[in-house]
Amino acid sequence: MTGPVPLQSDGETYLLPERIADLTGLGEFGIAGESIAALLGAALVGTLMLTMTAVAGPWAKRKITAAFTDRIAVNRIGPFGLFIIVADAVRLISKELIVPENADRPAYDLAPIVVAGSAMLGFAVIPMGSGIQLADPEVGVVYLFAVSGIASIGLVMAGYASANKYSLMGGLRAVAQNVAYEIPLVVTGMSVVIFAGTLQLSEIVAVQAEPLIELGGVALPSWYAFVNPFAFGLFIAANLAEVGRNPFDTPEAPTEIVAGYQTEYSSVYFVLIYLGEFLHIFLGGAIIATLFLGGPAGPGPAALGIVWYIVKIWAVFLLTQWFRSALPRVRIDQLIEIGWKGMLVLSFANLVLTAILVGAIA
Amino acid sequence: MNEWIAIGALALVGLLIPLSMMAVSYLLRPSVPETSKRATYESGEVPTGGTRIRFNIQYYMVALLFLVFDIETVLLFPWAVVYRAALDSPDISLVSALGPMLLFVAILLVGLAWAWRNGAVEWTRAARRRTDYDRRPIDHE
Repeated sequence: MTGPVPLQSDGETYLLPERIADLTGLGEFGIAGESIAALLGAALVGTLMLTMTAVAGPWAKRKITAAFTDRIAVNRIGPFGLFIIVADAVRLISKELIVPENADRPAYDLAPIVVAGSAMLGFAVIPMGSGIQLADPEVGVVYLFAVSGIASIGLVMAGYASANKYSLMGGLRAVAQNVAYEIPLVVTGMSVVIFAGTLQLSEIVAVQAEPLIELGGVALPSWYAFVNPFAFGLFIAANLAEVGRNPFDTPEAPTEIVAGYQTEYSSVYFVLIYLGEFLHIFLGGAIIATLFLGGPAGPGPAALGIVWYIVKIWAVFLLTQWFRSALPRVRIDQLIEIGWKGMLVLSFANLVLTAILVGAIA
Repeated sequence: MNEWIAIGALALVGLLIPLSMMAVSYLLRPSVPETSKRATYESGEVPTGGTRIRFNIQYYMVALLFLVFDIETVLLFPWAVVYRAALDSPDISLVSALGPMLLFVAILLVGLAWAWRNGAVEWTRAARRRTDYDRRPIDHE
């Protein structure tokens, strides 16, 4: 097992912008140099996440669904049909943009930007291994939960501004669902904070590198998924609802309300909302990996951190796609009742039990 | 280095990506204006009535409930951060570190129980109109 992966220099976490500044000599130009280094780092992280979304959206999702339903999908263009990514991007972006006649214009245009842009924000504090971490504020966990909630505003904007009944219903459902599962998500995340005693994500990853038990010479790391599997399960369920995937895909529910908040979106606006959703699934995966699966930790040298990070977030993505193929959708009334009567009570039980357990050990 | 510069930089990147995609799309896409295709989509039917429809009051109830619990999580986070360190220090006993939080959570859970009993988290359904099908004689064999 490797240690905490963010590289250390004199006790501080060596963040990506600093490394870029040191490599290029930008650090000598004061705040302007720092900003340029930060922008370069942000562009790198943004490109990385955008690439993964591009692979997941037009290609992997279809391939996975096809495999689950015993069919063949996208195998015509390029090796394994991979060039469908380019073809689909060009096809969707060059479609005519049809704006519904009663649309509330500035809000209708802003919603896709809010949905796609806000999903990117969370990746700023995720330790991705191999020294790739843009920022490491002391309030990391709170920041993460705060920015991942912004997308709900974009969904309500999209639902309201489209001036369509399906869209309005979808927007309302999206916010009711996000609101109901946000509390269990945050409270379960809080039980991890009790164990770690810090909100800083690099610290939470570092604490998880310590061995939990020895099994036949192999040390099992104290990942919080092993320490508290109950919280891990709760968090995964709440996260599925937060990203609106089966069995909690009621805001989009194709068989009930067409496509929910995105019914009236076409062309590049549709691409942006779709992109935002996939970025959100990956952000959810990144949060699960960081809080419960030891961040970028894994066997092999620390330089492999980024590989383990990608493997973990793709594992979460695969899980959402598996559920998408295997689980039926819950109704909106069931959804609210599961959230407020089940998940909320269980998450508080988990918090109190964790606090008592930590107190009993100490 | 101030790390909020890096977060701001990523926010800028997150804004520039959608804007540049919109710009590329603006250059590529055709525009064939035609009034009928801008009609509101209602499964191919002619749209009826306005879109500012009346919806279930429950959406409002759960939003109110959310406010209470969201503020609770904000108040609980500082406690969660210092809890373990407080237990390690010799002057603070388990009861004084854990007790107030348990009381705080208990008060809110009583609130949830009250809301639960009054049906705030129960999905209200429109009273079902009795139909001939409901009034049919029940066959008890």
